[in-house]
Amino acid sequence: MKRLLGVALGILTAIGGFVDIGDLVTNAVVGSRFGMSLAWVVLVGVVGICLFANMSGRVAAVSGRATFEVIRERLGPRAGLANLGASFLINVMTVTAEIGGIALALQLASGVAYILWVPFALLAVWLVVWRVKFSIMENVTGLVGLSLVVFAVALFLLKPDWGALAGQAFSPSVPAQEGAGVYWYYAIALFGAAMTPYEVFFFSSGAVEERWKIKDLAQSRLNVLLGFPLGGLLSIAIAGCAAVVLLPAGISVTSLSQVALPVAQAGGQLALAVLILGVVAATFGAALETTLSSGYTLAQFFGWSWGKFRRPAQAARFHVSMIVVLLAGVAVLATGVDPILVTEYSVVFSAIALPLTYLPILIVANDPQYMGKHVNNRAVNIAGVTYLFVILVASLAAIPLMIATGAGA
Amino acid sequence: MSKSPRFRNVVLTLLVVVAGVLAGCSQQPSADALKGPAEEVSSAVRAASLAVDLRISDSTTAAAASTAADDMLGDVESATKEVHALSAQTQEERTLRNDVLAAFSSVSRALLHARDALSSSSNGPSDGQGKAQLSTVQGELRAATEQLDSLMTKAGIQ
Amino acid sequence: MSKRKRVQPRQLHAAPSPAGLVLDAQLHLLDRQILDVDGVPVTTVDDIELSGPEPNEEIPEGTAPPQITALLTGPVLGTRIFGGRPPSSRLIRIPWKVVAGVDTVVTLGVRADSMDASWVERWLRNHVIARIPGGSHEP
Repeated sequence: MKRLLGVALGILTAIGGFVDIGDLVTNAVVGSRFGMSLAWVVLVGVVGICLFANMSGRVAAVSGRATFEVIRERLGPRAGLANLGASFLINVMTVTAEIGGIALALQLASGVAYILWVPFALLAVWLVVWRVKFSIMENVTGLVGLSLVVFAVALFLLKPDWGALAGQAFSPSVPAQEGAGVYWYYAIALFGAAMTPYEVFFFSSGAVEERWKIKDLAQSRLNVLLGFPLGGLLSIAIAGCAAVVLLPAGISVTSLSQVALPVAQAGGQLALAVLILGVVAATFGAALETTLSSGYTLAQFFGWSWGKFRRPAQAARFHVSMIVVLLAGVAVLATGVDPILVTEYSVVFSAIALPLTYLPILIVANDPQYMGKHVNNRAVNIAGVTYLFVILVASLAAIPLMIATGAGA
Repeated sequence: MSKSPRFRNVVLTLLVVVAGVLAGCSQQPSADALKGPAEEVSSAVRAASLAVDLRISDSTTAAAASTAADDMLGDVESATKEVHALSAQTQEERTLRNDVLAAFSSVSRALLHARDALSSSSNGPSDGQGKAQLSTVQGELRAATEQLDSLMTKAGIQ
Repeated sequence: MSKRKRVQPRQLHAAPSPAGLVLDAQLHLLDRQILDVDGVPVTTVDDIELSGPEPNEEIPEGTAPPQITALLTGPVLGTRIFGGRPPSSRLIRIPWKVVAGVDTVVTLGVRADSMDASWVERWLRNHVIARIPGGSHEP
């Protein structure tokens, strides 16, 4: 019974933890502008994140080493440092976006300007990073984040023309009022949002934090293989809500308050309240994950002691670096930059940096010195290499498309 | 080493192409340059309209609806700035730009009223006076939408 | 960088056949994690210090082969990435004699806090973390 409960908990938190501000905003923007015609990207992204999250979890469980330690050992200091620089920058951007997301959700709840909520969000995130146990932190934010299921419920309550939605999803085409360049730009953004690299650093470091052993791998595989696809369905429901209500009304999403409109229309104030709760939990959870990830990557590259299983005093550099990252994120927000804009850029930059994260994982997962007999099998390698190719194409196409489309304008 | 000059040539060619594309973008208030800002404002006013509708039917809270109106006001402001930055060459362009700016400012006025009405509607729409106020604001938003739409159709933006 | 003139030995002896475990310094030492006796991460192997002749120095016949005298850490990493050589006084050394084992990680036989290599950690602990309430609580 207890074991079953553990399995259920793991899957539920994986669903709740899948969606962050990047998924939320990008899916809503895409739904309001392209209908369901980009739903296939979410599918491609979910399969990819399942593949690589599993791989990095296996590396962590078998070798007891987190991803970034191994990246430097295998790539050497130069490539490792370049990788660290890019990953760290994107992490800071994502931390900024998530803290902005918490503040925007609180504004939606209270009507008080989001900028006033930012210091509060910062303090709350830091306190949890400082004091709360890893497993409690993961489970609570994951479970509460599950209230984002309200998007799926809202989609049903809106009684859409399911046939038309499915038609858009299964025979995708570029809508008449949008250009092909913009379509592909958002395809890349959506891919970056689904495959966010911090997820992998966090996943593998989390496995070390929770001291996974090889026997825990079956459970983790189940969490990933059930949780992430269901989280992906949630993403598609977000796009669906926007496609059903906002697209026909001629509204294209530029703010979080617009994302809430279809849910309020479908389920009234109660649904709105559940939505806000879900957004706060999801962005809060992701803010924790990205803050920890930036600490993890730095500590693992330089060999510092790290981890929430240690007292902060036993991991001083790790904790100081996370405080600095949080303050940097808040400093960016204090300039008054739109958090939604930061989010949109963060997912595209994530897409650009994807090969940096995923190539080393693939290399290490094939290294018998770390993995013993648990190296990748042939099927996983074929899938991995195929994905690496997709990732590389997306990464190379991102910047030219960004320039050509004026960042999707 | 034979690779690097070729690589440099490719990069240079790319840069030239990009520069050409950027230079090709007209900075005059043609229908093309106005398209982006006009669509942004059209989307904003419709979103605010939906928020007011939802508030009238008590589907959303005063806080969420007024936040939406406030966000839309920000979008209209940035679109207005964008149009201001365009420099008109001919009389025709100047007229078009001024018409667009006039439409934007009536949208902006309607949004301001909407935001105020929404944030003071916290007693709930059962309050008769609040409801009447919201309907007035809704009328204003619709009128501004129509003004913008007819202008966009006339100028061939869409 | 200008190419240094190599000093050619008159006659090359075959390398002595090694007994026991063979380590490739590049592969098995550089960039590896260093753990202390309690398994607490200390730092990474940023570079290695060898005994023996300086570059460009004539090597007399029968000289003892160079030995690892210390693992280096700290700013020396920058020189591996960007080139150059730090002054010897600026190197942070972990003497080879405290190394207890070399596996996928390098383990030491002493505590981290007793070493120069952990001064940043100790400084931040005493001046920052210890001053924030809850810093030394069990998580």
